[in-house]
Amino acid sequence: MLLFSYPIVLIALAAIIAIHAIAALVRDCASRILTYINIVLHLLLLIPLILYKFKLEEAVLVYMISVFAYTLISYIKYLLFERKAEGVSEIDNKKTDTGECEEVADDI
Amino acid sequence: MTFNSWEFLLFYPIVATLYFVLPKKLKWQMLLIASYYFYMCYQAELVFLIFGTTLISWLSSNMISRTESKGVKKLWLTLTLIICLGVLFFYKYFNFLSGSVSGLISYFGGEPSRVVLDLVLPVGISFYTFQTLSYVIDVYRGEVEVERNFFFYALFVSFFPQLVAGPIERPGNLIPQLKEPKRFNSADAKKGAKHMIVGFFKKVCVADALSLYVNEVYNAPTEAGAIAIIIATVMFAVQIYCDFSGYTDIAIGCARVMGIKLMKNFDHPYLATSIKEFWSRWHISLSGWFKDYLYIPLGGSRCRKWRHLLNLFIVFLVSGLWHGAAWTFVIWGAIHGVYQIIGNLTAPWRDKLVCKLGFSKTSPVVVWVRRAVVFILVCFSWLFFRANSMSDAVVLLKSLFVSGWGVTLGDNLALMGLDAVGIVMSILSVLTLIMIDKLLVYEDVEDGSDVLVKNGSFIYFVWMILFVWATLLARDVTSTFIYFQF
Repeated sequence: MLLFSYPIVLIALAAIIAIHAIAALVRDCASRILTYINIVLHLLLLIPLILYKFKLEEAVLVYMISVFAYTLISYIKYLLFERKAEGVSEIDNKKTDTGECEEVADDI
Repeated sequence: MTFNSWEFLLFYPIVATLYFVLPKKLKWQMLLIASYYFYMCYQAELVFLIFGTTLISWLSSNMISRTESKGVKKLWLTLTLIICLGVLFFYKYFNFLSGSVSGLISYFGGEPSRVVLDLVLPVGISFYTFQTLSYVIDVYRGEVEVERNFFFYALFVSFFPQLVAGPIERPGNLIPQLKEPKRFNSADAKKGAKHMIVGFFKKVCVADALSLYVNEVYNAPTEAGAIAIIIATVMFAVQIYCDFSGYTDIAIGCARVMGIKLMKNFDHPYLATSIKEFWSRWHISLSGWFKDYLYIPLGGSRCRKWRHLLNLFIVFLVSGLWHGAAWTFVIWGAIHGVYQIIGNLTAPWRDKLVCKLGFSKTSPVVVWVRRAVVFILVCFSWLFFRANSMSDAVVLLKSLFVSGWGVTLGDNLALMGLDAVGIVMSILSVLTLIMIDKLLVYEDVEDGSDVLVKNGSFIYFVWMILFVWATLLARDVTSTFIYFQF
């Protein structure tokens, strides 16, 4: 994977992931500003990708890592904070999950 | 005009904007015109079929509601079933039946005379035929009030988000919503947009990306080794889920933006702990249709054991045939029918075995072992579903169980075109998908807060989708949705 041998790409990717993490922790206004910064970073990352003429698949992978990191951070946040805070909703979820299945499973 | 086309990206915002801008009386008329335009973008020449099916089912439902005589009601229902299913049969199954009969004749040494008609399969015919039939049957049973306005009924049949690949909506759910147009609601728009983005992510970033590797194996079955077949089949399991549930997510999202709630069609099917449960989580609208209009009329489970098992088998055989006019689909349906029968017969023994081993039925070990077994069984059936023909399926099975183990892992991966970037991409996209699914379920609960997308961060997903889309376009590999062919 040649793409990851370029420090500038690695630094940009590390910065993007770090901003994802910080944006998930801070309050709404700061989070919004960080999100905009991150979007600009995503766009800036296009420059080295075009300059060094990487294979498209490798360039896609860089963005996939960013999206994966963002989703993972959101998921961890959900597991740590939201799930506990919204315990009732979780129970509701389980109810709809199994309830529906069992109802249909009785027949077919 | 598929959901993943540039034309749709232009079409949908125009329709959604008009829906909110136009006066209440004109909203549904605009939706009807837009829906027919949407359909005609696929096959303008076959629009008369959907119109004809709509007209016949509307006429007969009105006749059913006007008469008190049970015999006359039954006559109209039978007539509708014959005509609607006849059209479906002619366009979808005529060549298949003709080919099968001539094959059978030549097998017994006769002189085959195969009649092949130059027929184009109308897009979404299985979906809209089933939707119209459910309406007429519900009117016949007195479960739904008849719709007197033909054009309004035509909108129910042709509503564009769910027209070509479902969910197969029930009249009781969709018609009242179409009759009560909603004003713009930012919460609905936000939820709808989120569903659409997730749907596009599933389709473009996961399904289309995985299809590259799956096609390499299934289009050259004689060269594939056992490991390549296993990897490609597991990838196809993910691909077809993302393709179809991605379509459903986009359909649900499109309708939700306009304040219309379509039914859920998927509920984490690969987390099912039995085949029975799998079918209550996969293509829920079709499973529900078969349950209400085929399984229960056949006698359901309230009959003798052998008859109950036969009913199950018939339902899954018909379900296989519904998916496509080819023996691979029939076998796929039959395999699921056999799974259901074996599952039903062995359920008490399996429960006893779990107890003897000292586990409870709900212990995580038992649940995950059952999930793994169900996933393997479902993957085995996907092999037939994806194979291009029965002879290809036989070659793949032979390679999988007999001759294909001599090929090295490196050669298998090379055949699939799967390099390090492809492997990492595939793993990351599937892991992302699993987390998104979990977060979406949480957020869909009315009081669930936004975890997945907030402060404009959905742009990451849009960015990702556009990037992968552009990459696939550059390689000329964007595909249509798999379920369109059904």
